[in-house]
Amino acid sequence: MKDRIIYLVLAVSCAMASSYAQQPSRTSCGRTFVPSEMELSESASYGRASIGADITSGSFHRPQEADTETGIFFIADGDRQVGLFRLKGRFDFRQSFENGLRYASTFDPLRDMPYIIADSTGGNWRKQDYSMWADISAHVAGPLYAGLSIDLEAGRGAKKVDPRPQASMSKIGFTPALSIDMGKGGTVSAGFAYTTFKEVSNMILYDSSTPQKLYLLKGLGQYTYEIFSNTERERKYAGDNIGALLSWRYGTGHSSMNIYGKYGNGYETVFDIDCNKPHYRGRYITGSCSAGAVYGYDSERLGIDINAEYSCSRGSGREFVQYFDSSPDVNAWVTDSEIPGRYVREKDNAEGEAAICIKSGGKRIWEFKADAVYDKDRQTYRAMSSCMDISSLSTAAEAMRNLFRQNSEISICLSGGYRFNLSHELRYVPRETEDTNISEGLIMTDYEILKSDFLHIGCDLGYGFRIRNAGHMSINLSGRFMRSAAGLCRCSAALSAAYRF
Amino acid sequence: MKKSILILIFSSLLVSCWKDNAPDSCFVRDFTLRMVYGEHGKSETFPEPLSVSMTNTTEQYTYNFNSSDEGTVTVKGVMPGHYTITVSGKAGDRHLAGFVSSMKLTIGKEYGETVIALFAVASNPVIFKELYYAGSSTPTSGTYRNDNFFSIYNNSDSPEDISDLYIGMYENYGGLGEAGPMWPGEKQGAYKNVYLKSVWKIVAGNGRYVMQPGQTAVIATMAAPHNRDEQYNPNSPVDLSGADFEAYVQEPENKYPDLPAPNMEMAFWPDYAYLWRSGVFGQGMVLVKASAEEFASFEKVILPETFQDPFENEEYWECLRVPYSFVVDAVDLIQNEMATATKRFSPELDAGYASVGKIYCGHSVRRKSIPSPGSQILQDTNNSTADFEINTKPLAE
Repeated sequence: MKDRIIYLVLAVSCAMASSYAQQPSRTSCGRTFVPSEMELSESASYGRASIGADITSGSFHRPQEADTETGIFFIADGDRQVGLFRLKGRFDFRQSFENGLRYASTFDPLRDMPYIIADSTGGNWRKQDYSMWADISAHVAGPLYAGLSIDLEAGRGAKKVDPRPQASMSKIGFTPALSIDMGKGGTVSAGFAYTTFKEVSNMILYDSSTPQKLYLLKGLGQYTYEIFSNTERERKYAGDNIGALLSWRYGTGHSSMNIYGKYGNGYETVFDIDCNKPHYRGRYITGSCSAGAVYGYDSERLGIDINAEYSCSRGSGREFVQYFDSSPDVNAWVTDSEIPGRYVREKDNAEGEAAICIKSGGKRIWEFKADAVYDKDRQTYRAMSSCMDISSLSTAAEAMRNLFRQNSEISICLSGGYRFNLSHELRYVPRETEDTNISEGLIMTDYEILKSDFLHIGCDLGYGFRIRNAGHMSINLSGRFMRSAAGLCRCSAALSAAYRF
Repeated sequence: MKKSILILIFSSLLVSCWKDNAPDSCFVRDFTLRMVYGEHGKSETFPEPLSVSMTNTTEQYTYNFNSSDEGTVTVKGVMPGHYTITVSGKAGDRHLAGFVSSMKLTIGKEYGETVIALFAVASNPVIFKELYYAGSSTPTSGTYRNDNFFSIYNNSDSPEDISDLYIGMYENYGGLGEAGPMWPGEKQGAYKNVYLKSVWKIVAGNGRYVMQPGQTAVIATMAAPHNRDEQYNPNSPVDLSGADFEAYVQEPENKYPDLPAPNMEMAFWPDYAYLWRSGVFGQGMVLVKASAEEFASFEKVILPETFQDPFENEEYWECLRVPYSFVVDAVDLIQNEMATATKRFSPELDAGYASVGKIYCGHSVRRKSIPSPGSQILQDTNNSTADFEINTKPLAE
């Protein structure tokens, strides 16, 4: 949820910046599905730098999200033809101050990873996140095009209350791909994706005379715990993901069509450093696939985008039974057995979106968009007869008006939507009856938030102007408000400035 | 040809996928535990059901069962993992105990019947009563651990001569929260000797000291009025000026005062310091009964080099190996209830552990008392987890 809000704010700011810069809206921040396809798409040739700040606050959030989050960000992106190569990329830096987080002792406790550590103190986190992607494509020979995507992300964060986790993560991904232009038969592209992930969370106890209870979560509120009274402990994550991408694009006249699919398979191993030796806690194995179709129509007076996508993912948590063999020959944690499929998560998502824009002189004057998203999320921990099942339907609509003057433009965007809970179920057997931190503080509270119906509205304002012979400047302001059926609220605001050259 | 290559590529992709297929059942197959003691559990029944506790140390989950008269328990629906099993019960006047330190249960495996041989708990007359090792905090939020003490108690109904009684601290080389090293010739969970870092003869020299039934003797690290004199620690929970014995290191350079309490005799402590203090996270404590000749026969051993830290001198790694048969009482003190991996004594000495769970908290662990008409009887079932409780007012009766 937190990520969605942040990305929503960033995406809207970015999209608005691009509209002021007379770009086809919502494409300059995006990427082609397969990097080699980029060579066949229209080149925009631009560079842009944005800075901004945002704030999100309110009670309608999951326990592992901040009560209040403020952040500053810097974004640089661009698209250039350099010799034989088409280059496109983006760099993001974000410094955030997340206050009032609970049950979080890893960098992002809400990512799809059941083996996280929750502490019972909560506190304020300070995080820095750096992410970068670059797509390179080139014409190889005849109808053959090659491309490569590189994704890098690095983050670090720390909490200032015992047990003081200091987390750092890094993710590197490569996607080499080939496209074949079959002329009237369209373009077929295929790629291979590889991603590697690492995270380390070191916990430090300044006041070792006050031991802290740490919950080593295993999925759906099941855990083992330890009383942390050492000066330091370490948790590590290491994972790899491989996948394949396939895409077919067809364009004729003003219309274009793209059908695509993606499959990914990965695992992530989680271990602690106990007795100076790795103590394996679990391995999370994931499989995901998505398929979609996009239809686009673009003329001098009208633009239409219709897309539909289905995606699903399956995650399975495999736990390790280890014991410490302190004999001189071994002196390490030894795996006695592995328990597959302890925690299982199944997610399905289907979404459809339709957008229409009315143009004048090639410029987008009005834009209307409507979308609907169906989500189903089922988690089970069979050994403890626990399961959580939530499905929902989210609908949203958006209207944008762009006003163009000689050297400037103004944009106003209004959006709103409602999320309906379709079904929900929670069967939860707590691990400890006398300690309700996880059962009530985390699981029950999280369930109440996740199954909530809620309304959201938003407004985005932008002003852009051309600097004589020196590019284009834009200032963007956006605000969002959410209110759940239970009366909980959350609002966010962002202000950014972008310079395009 | 092209088709074959494509098939090969797709097949290898499918085969190389990481998969995780859940088993049909997430529990271990049913099996039976059979407890035996003499003919009980074989040709005879037990007079009352035995209490069986299976702790899954991987999951930190405990299953409790009561046995049948035949001494069997059918274990159904337990999670896989690494287990310890504790059995307690009675046969006539005898307290029985049993312990399995390591039982690894895996999904899909057949276990049939597991036999646990019970033993009669030996009740020794002189035992530990209270152990105060975690230290206290000072008024300026500093830490203080010169106020350690250990009290012993005559739990029998007759006078007991403790002239040949020794108190010792187990080595704690494993470090904080870590399992200690395994000594050569020993088996994990089934040690036959204790490895002591320091040992004191409670009654120095050839002196004689008889403890009357129900009498307590306090052994202090420093027999000072800790909480009554500003120069010590007013926040300390104890005044040890009335202690019965003190662990004073008789060394000319020792600047700590030799307080009025009778001094014990340092019998073994190769890398001695000027104060005999326990680690604040706790370490195993033993009472050893041995004659002078027997004590002299105990072997001095050095920890294998594999485990040694080269920055420590050789004396640091030297321990006294004392066979279990000479140990009259032992309490496995560990950091907290989750640090069971650091437990060092076999169930034969201590089937459980004791811990105050904190450091510098001013708390001790004290043996529970059993209501009785005469002098106070302390609980001694050879399981410190059951026998001891946390005492927030050390030394208070």
